[in-house]
Amino acid sequence: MKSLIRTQVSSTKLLGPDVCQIEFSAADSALPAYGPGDHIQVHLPDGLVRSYSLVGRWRNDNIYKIAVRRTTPSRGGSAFMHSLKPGDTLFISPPTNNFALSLSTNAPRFFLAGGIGITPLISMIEILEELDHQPNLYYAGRSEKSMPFVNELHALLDSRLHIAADDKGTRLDLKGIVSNLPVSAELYMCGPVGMLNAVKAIWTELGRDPTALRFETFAVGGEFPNASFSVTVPRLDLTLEVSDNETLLEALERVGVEPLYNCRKGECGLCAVEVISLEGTIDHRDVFYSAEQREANAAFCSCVSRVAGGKVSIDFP
Amino acid sequence: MFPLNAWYIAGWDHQIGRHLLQRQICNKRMVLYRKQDGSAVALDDACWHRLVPLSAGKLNGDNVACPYHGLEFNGAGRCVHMPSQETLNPSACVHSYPVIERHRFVWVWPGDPQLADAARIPNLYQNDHPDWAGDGGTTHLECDYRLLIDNLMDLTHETFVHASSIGNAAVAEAPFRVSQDDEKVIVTRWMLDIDPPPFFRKQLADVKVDRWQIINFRAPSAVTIDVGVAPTGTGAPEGDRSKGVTGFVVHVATPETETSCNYYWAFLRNYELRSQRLTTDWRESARTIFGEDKHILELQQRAILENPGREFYPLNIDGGALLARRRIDEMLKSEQGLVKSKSATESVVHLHREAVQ
Repeated sequence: MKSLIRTQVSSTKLLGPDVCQIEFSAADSALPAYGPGDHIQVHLPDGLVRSYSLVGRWRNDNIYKIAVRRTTPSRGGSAFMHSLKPGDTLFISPPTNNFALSLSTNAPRFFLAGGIGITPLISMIEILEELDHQPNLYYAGRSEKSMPFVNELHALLDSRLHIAADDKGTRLDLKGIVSNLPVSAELYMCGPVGMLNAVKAIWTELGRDPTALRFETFAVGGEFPNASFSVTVPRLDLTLEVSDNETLLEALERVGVEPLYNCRKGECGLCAVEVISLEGTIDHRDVFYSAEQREANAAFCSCVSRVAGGKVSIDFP
Repeated sequence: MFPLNAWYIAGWDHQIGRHLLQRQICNKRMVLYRKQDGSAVALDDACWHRLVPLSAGKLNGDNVACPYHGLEFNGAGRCVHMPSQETLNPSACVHSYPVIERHRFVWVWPGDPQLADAARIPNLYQNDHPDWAGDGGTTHLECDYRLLIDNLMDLTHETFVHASSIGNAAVAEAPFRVSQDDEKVIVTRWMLDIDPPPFFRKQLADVKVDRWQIINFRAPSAVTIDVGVAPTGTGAPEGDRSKGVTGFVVHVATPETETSCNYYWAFLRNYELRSQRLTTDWRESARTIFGEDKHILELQQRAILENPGREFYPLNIDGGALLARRRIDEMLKSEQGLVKSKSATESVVHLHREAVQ
């Protein structure tokens, strides 16, 4: 495992009703360089680990910037992050990347962000802007006030920023947007899984190149609000309650079961559990299963997906 | 010690084709091939899934398929097929290196892709120009690429290493001049009124000649040498080479590891352009001559490893080599600890400024 970096919070700032920007510097040396789309993992005092995208391109000023949306109920991470004050210590992993901006093609680049999903896209947009690639950004949120960095992005992109805000009654016409993209265009997106899956469906329906759709999941938010649900595992003679602020995977680990997992954000499919019987609706929040597989409800990813108000009987390896 | 933010030759144009070719460049293993439209691709040679070399796999259309589980990646390094699942994992990709084909070579950029500016490829137009003819080859060297640069920046060694072809006493005795500008380090040597060495005697009648060697180094690893002879008194030192013969020698080193490299070379001429005999003769002469360098450089590398801590003792003849190494060191310093960094960003800004002017 790579060693952690001890950092110190240098400033915090509210960017709207529920988003906090946190800047921090290395306590002992300079922070390492990072590339567009990189994220870090913050190691919280209680042992939890949370991933946050680094906002803006690397400037070699020994400052990392992240933005954290407070989720209700908080899964522990966001409440702690919102309580940080200048001078506080924060342990982080070195930057890594699961969401690479490819500079090996000259394809026109388009970006789509839902709310806090804007964070990994900003470094990419800044670099493409510098290289004069003229990126376009579609950015949706509940209200313009609640959408972080909207002013900075407007200054950077001007008419290439397209905003939709629920409170203004404007919505992004996802189908229209995808239909009008140039044939060679690449779309980078980040946001709630509902938005990602909707765009994936449109992308497939229109027969576009699947590798030109790039996305990163955030593992928060689904079709239904978080609610507790009960789970039985007949093979282990186990019944447990998954509370509204933990995932099924976390609940299984809490009672000492060691299910397989890897990404913990609904991408790899290792933590999938098989459904034996179901009362209620599965809120699939992963990107591992295809639309048909999600509809079949034969299995779901325990790291992100939940049952909305009901119970489920499962098995897993 | 090699800068990563630079263009390096991955192969001759004819070496990259509709097959998978593995190359190690600056310690990075890459797999190279051509897509169906003819464009060249260089990907990280380790599958995203379990790191098995993709170069041991198969070329499937424009994609490379991993030999282990059949994951397929396209020329941009993106996964297009995963076994036993209906979706593609969004983070599945391998690094795709910037590639440019120019002057009969396929160039790759192992460093930060956002800095890969085609304008930084050394100008070797003579290798692919109607006013020039000739050919070249590749020689693998078990030595630090900088030993080759040192070798090329001081041709005194010709007298001793290449006595049967291009060396004679005059090379080791004639004075030379070292100079530099923003782009290059230059070593100029004129040998006036001398007996031509064996190779050039074949090209001209056996008369006294004025011989020149004008060496240009462009960091990190390109050396071109303008060479030739003209009968003494026909005005070559003053600029009239019409009675002589001019050759242009291209040497580019691509580091493989700290102690091995590939040496790409070509020997070109600007007369008798249609003579295949001369093309073959010059190329094979060069191959023999550079084989003599290989012998010395590999002996030298072995001695360096056997004498840890021993440093070179530079002499006056090493001025060009020292300046070349200084240019390499400057590139290394600007990259230190910050491969994707401020200094990098500054170069981007600088390049943009050039573009605007």
